[in-house]
Amino acid sequence: MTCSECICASPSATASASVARFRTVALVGPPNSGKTTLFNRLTGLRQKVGNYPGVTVEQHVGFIKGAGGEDITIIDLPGVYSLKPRSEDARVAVNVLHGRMPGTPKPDGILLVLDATNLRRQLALTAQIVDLGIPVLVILNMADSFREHGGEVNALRLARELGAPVVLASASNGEGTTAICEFLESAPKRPAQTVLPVLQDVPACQAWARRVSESAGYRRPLPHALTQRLDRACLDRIWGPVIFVVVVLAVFQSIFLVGQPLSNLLQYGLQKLGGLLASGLSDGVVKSILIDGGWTGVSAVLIFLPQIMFLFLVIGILEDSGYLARAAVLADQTMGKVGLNGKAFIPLLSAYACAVPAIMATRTIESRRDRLATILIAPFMTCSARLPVYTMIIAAFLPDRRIAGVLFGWRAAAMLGLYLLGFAIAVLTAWLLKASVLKSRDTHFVMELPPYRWPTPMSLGLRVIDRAKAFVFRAGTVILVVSLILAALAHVPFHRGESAESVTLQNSAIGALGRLVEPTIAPLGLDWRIGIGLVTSLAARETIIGTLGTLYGVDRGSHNLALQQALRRELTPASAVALVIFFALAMQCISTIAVVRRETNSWKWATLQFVYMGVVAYAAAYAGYLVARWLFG
Amino acid sequence: MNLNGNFARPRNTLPNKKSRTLRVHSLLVQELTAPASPQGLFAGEDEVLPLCDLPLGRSAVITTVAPCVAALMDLGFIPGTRVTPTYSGPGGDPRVYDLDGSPVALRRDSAQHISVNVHSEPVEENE
Repeated sequence: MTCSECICASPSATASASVARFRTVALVGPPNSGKTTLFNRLTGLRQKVGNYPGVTVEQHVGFIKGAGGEDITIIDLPGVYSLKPRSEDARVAVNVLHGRMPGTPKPDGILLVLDATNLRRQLALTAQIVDLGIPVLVILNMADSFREHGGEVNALRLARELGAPVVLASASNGEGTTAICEFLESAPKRPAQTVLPVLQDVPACQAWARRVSESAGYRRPLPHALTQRLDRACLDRIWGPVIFVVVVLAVFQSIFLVGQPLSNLLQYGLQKLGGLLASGLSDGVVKSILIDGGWTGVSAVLIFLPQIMFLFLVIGILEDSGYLARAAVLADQTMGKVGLNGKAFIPLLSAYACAVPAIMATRTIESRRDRLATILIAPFMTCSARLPVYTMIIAAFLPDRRIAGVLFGWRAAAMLGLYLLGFAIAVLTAWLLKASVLKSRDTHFVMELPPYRWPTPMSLGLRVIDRAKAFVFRAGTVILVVSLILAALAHVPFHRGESAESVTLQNSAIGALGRLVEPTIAPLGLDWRIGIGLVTSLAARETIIGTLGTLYGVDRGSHNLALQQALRRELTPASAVALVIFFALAMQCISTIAVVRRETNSWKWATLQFVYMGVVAYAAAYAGYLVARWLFG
Repeated sequence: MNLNGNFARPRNTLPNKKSRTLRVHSLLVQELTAPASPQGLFAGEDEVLPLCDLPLGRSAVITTVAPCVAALMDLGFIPGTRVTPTYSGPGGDPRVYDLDGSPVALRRDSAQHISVNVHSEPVEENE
């Protein structure tokens, strides 16, 4: 029996490392080993996310107090199965470990996090890590589950075989944390010289792994009975897809049932706050820019925060529990036919909240072409920002009545139709892309199915906060800047000689832009006022509502009903159809463009996407206009 | 395998008893009792076939892994390991394989590059 609160160190003499204490420690390990949970436990809120230079791999760095109160930097490296660089993630990990990553110091310690359940398979990676010669602590994680299912190992003997200290831990319940901290606070010691196999020789490696695990008394735990029982349902030919659809619908419902009311509450609060701020400032150009531009811009982002956080919470629960892996396998059956990777299912689902974090989530897709295809179709998913626009137009033109007495109403049907439109165009685009430009010879879909587990609330919470921060900072800053610029332009007189005070929206620079756009949207029955709305909605889609409110002379307070009446007056039903279809398919989000540029490291794809979506949106809007005019006159 | 050629229902055993643990899906038994050829599906001494063609529930041992899918070896698809297809969707692609105790899903495109032998013994047994 081994005590998990102490480190089983190799009794043979180990050379002292060249540093007196740990300064930079890297967390290495295979995916699904609970590495990030341990990282979260050690660093808590003292984390930051960045990017490694030149690659689109996220860098997670955190800080923990070491010996003498000094901080130790902990780098959570991407999960790798081996140090042979087969993917961008693995290359980054290798480069960091060798000190070749610019901007990141070479680690003087390694915490190797392994899944205790699968030790034999992971011994090859262990050999590679120990071989580096850096002081390392081998952590057999998930020890609670390991023991519960009948697993056994003699950590002391394992440490002797490997030449490095070993500790049994469980990041989810905190077992072994003190031992790990003890290691981090002690003087670094290099691993002992032991016989390690030639790593390229697979059979020799296997034989070594077998010998080591035998002499360490390693006993595999029994397969999880619960996991197998649940998989019998979740992966069943019929029940699998049924459960999948139910789960996806539940995710959506949760966004509307929980997210929407919170959103509305927040919107009300922000409006009131904006009013308070406005009353504190003197009237004038500056006030208008700050309030109309700045505050509106900030509100536009914050309003969606509840929905986005809730969605990420739900997705996080599915991910941590292990179900999402099964969902990706089920999704791959259909997505594979279009040429997409089943792993794209998660980012595409997130895109229903906001495309910005969704595009960042595509980093888990190894194939560059699959990832690019997913990024390019993500904005077609109906994001939360489109909903206020849909709601406004649908409410203005459709009666709140049921269709032929069935449970469904006209308005709900229209909303669903728009959702499906976005989805259908996304699928079509993916198929086109993968059949031509992004055609790839080898399809890679490999998914390890982890055992079902209860999510760890601490780790889950930190990840939700992390993603919410990404949304607020990535999307928010861009939206804020663009809103301020647009608000400023709204005060720039288009004709010389006019003073700033007498500028209205119509005869400002923005008004001129709107009128410039008018000839292009005239075939859709839309005029220059809508043109101005489309220009401002580039910052954030829902700003068109505020813009139209101003242009139609609707009082800010009584927004909804009055604006609906104005829309009914100004637009024909056919034009409304055109407008709403345009909103469904056009890329009207500078934040998304910025993120795409960042994730693809070039302007090429972002521009192509913008143009493509614009063309598709226009064509579909025109088609919709013609059909609607034929139907409704 | 018992005398009828069916897989025995596993018993829950303690870790220090050596036993083969095979998990069987109820549908799999039906597939196995309807052999494709008169002598049974795998009559020969050595039956080597690509992993994608291995029927559900039929266990085999990996013989070779083609270089184009060498990355799979890091996941545990190593020659000498026992692998059993356990689940398959309506389309048949991807399938879930029990790889020496852990489930991994693979597409046909990858599975076709892994060769397995139905009659060999694995290098080490899952205790």
